[in-house]
Amino acid sequence: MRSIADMGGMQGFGPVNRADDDTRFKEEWEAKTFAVNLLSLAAGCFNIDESRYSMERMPPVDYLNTSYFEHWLYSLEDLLTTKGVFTRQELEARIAELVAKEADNAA
Amino acid sequence: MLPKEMVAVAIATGAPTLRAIGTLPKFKLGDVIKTTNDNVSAHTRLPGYARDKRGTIVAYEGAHVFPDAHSIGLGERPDHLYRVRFESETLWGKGSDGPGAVYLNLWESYLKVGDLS
Amino acid sequence: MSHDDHTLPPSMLALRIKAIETLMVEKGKVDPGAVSEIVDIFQNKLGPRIGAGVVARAWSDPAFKARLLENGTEALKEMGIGGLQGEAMVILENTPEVHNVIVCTLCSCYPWTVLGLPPTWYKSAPYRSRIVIEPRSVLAEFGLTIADEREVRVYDSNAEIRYMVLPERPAGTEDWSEEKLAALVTRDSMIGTGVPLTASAI
Repeated sequence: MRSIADMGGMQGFGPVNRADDDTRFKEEWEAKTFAVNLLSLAAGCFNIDESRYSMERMPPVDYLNTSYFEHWLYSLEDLLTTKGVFTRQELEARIAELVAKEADNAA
Repeated sequence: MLPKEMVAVAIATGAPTLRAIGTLPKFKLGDVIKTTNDNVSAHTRLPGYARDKRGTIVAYEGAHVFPDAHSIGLGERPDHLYRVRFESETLWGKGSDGPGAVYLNLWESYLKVGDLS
Repeated sequence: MSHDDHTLPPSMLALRIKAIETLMVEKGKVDPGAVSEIVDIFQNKLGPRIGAGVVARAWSDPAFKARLLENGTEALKEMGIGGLQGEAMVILENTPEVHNVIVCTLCSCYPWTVLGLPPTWYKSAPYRSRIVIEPRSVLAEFGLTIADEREVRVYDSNAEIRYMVLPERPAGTEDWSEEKLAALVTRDSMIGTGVPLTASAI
């Protein structure tokens, strides 16, 4: 598909931001997303081609407005629910639990 | 599930995509090809900028897992993979930024015989 | 102190990946210890010093350089290098006639085994989109001017073949040890957006 990811030759994105030079994970969630993605591949939950295809199907505006590892997070949610490793409901319930726990911790 | 103790070995091994297949490669080094203009509505690794373009085979990389099939549950379906050179002027037209070329790795099904002229 | 203590509340992103991680552990798909193992390898063990060592050896040993250019994967195995996102390596030699630079326009594939993880700019839309169509303009932003007669070759890593640039050896480094040569090799010189440091730099 001619997706938003297929951006070779597009003009107008402006100068390369060389200051974005770091290779380390900026935050823990990036490191976790990277690792869980690799481990999901290793566990055979999905293959790398399915993973890339999933990212290509992000809504274009979201794709451009989010960071690289947010693309990986999107595809993890997409593939793991589509493949039935867990359901959307289970995922949302778990997120809600974690949000509530954070609220408790903060209180 | 990959256990902690096996992580280092798994990373050092990787996941090679090279496969043995029963057909011989159709193209050889120096062949002129044209990339397909066929529409692919799902996943493909032929970028839009290189569709329906004339290029030259510069290397053969063996047969590799074919992403267009593998990404949509059709199995690995390995196909011959080539390194193809595209002159910058072919891709971008006159007035591009200097002598240059773009190289892509393309599966045989993306390619047809090109005109020599 | 709980394992989750932090000074700022975690973002939604952190909660989303934590939700996935905990579900995957419960479903027996992910070993929680494996997560930190992977992060350690990619943060602390893999990185451009590995590629710099390869370049230094190629500069010092013509026979190794010939093997490296002939079959990158096999030559790297001699140095114990290989694995994930480096299973099929091709090394690109810079010469007075040719300057090479690598990209993955479609998603950001990068030769992890020799360079570690890519810098953010490599994965950005400006780099991915522009390096194929106006490489000289992008390289100029990196402070690199390519002579008009020299050919710029952009390798788009759209399959599982991974590339690394073998930059030209700086002048005045004859008889240098491999260790000293490696110190001149920058990460960007192996991507193609830079050149090695000059001999006077160290």
